[in-house]
Amino acid sequence: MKNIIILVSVFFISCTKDYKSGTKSYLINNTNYQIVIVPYFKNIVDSTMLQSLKPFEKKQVFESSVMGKTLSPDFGTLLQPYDSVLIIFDEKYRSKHLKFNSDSSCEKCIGFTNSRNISNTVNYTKTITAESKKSLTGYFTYTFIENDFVEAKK
Amino acid sequence: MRKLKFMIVAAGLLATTCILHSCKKEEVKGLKNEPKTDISSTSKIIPQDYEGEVILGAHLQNPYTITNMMAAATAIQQQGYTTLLPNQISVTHYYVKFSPSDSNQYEELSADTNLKLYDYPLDYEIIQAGNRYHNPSLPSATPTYQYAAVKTNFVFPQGITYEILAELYIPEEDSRINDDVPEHNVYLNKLLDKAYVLTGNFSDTLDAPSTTAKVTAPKFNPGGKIEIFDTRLGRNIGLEGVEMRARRWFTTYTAQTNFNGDYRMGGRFERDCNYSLHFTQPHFSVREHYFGLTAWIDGPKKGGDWNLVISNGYNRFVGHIFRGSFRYHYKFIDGLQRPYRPSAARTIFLAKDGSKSWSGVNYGVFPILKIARFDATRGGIEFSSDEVFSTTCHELAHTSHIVKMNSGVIQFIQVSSQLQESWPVAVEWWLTKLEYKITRSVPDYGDWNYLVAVQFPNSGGYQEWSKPTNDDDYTSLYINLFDNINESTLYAGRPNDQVQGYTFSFIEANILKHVYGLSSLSAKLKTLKPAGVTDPQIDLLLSAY
Repeated sequence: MKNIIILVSVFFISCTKDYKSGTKSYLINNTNYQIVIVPYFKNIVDSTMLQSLKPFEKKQVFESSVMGKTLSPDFGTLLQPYDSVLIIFDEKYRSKHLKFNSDSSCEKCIGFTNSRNISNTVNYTKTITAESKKSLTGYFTYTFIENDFVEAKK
Repeated sequence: MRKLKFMIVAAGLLATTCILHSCKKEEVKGLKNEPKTDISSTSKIIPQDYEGEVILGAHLQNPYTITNMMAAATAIQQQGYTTLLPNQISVTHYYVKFSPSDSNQYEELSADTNLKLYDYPLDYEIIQAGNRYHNPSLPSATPTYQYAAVKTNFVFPQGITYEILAELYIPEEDSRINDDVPEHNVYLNKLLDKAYVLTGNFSDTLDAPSTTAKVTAPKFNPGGKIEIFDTRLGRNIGLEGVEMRARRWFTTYTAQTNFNGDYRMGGRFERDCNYSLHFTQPHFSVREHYFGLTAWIDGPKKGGDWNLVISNGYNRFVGHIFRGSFRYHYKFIDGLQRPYRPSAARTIFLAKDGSKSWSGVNYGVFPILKIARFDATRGGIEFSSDEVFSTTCHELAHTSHIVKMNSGVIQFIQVSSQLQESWPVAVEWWLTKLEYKITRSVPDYGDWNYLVAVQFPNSGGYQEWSKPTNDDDYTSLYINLFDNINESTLYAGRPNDQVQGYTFSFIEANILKHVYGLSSLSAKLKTLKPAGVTDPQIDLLLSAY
């Protein structure tokens, strides 16, 4: 009997159930201006990651199934490989968000550690909508605010 | 020894019971599928996506019984057709109904390549095609009866109940009749036509009963093309490896689809045949659920080719599981070990038509793998084709890993969960990349810059993984031993990966069996490192896990 219990235990322990989590990312435009997000890699725009937001629009920009219990990555993480990300307000006013390991400094550049940098994960709000022992469902949001426009316009 | 056998059997029964209890109770469709007897139409209804219950029509009079065939032979003898005389007609086949009591008995039957089993009786009209049938008189947890025609010398498997429903004479399979000889062919068609007329099966005759006999008819080798829609590619591709069947009453010809989905049977028919597609191979099969049987699609009854595009629905999901498994078992996998089980048991995929928080399950020592169709964590969205393919490879990689540990489950369960999961992560990434980037020509698929909304690790080559934010078990560890990307230059706070040059086949053959955690992995990697890789680089990489 003891041996049977051991064998059955082995069966259950050897079982592997591969849990998933579901993640989404939203960008929210809380300004009265159209916003375009333009990622650059080696001076070339990656149009597959380009996003456009109308005034006061909330837009889902990423959704994926991820392995295990996590909500990563967020949209900001996906922007990190790019050399820079240009944020354009009303096709006119621009700010440049720098890569995490960029050593450049320029006017209207937003460094990675800046609380407004779009590729820095810490600048995203994480919301968990469902949680089990081994799985999560939730989303991240990054919100553009009026001051982003003001800084770009300077 | 006897004690050990008893223990294994007992454990198997207990575990099977546990599996069954852990399964959500599922409705077995087809229970209300009472055979109907008042429909005489021969046109078959094809439901959308070929999904739903096969609906049986009238119970047909069997034209192939000895009595009927002798009567037919006597009748045409009087017209001067004497290739065979009535007294030369004898039993060639049995029409058999098997009653497997459980899934194991069904698997024993279906693994027998001499048997072409059908879930539904062969002497009923089929009114509607579909992909399910369960005899209404049976409980849902009991496999439905299996029907087949077997030669008289067939050795019936012991312990499985069967009933011989009829003794048959099948002239198409009688070697004394060579249908390439015109006289024989005329005789064959006369005999068949008469046998069909005598039993009221007029739709199977080449000629209406009262008209002059047409002595020759165009023969055809059943064939066609099977394609499946791939949501990642946005186009149809050939579905390779499925078993295609063409059946006329008790005669079944088979063929396997090739890379382009084309198939052609060796045997020929002159009359309409029933086509069907079966998701089975010698090393694996796909089922709907544990009590269910091999997934299949019942096609039309027709002459000429049958072409099918599996464009949507459950059948498409099953098809992509089949694709992933077919690749891992039989196609190019860059030197990895095939996921064959030493016990020679076939792997049974359970294609779960439900919304789950998991994508796959591997039952370890038992050859059962589950794949989920819908992702509960994303509001029940259906997994994309490449995600299903990828998850299938992931689950099979678990099997391969267990087999690599000398099939020692005791050894396997001592492997850290991080290494247990990171190995299949790497294998699924690599095989799915081989499939989609190399075989299907999707630029950058699986590379670090392939950032589309496909499940990780296929997106971005899993280079975004990091310990603080991602799951500790499903890591990029083995991918990083192989690739030449240092993700610390791409993402903030990612592993500093200066290691490259290990291949997955090398890791599997020389390292996997000996490692249980990061320290034993480190030691093995350092002993067997490729040229250009240093111990400090290995230490630096592993420190990220």
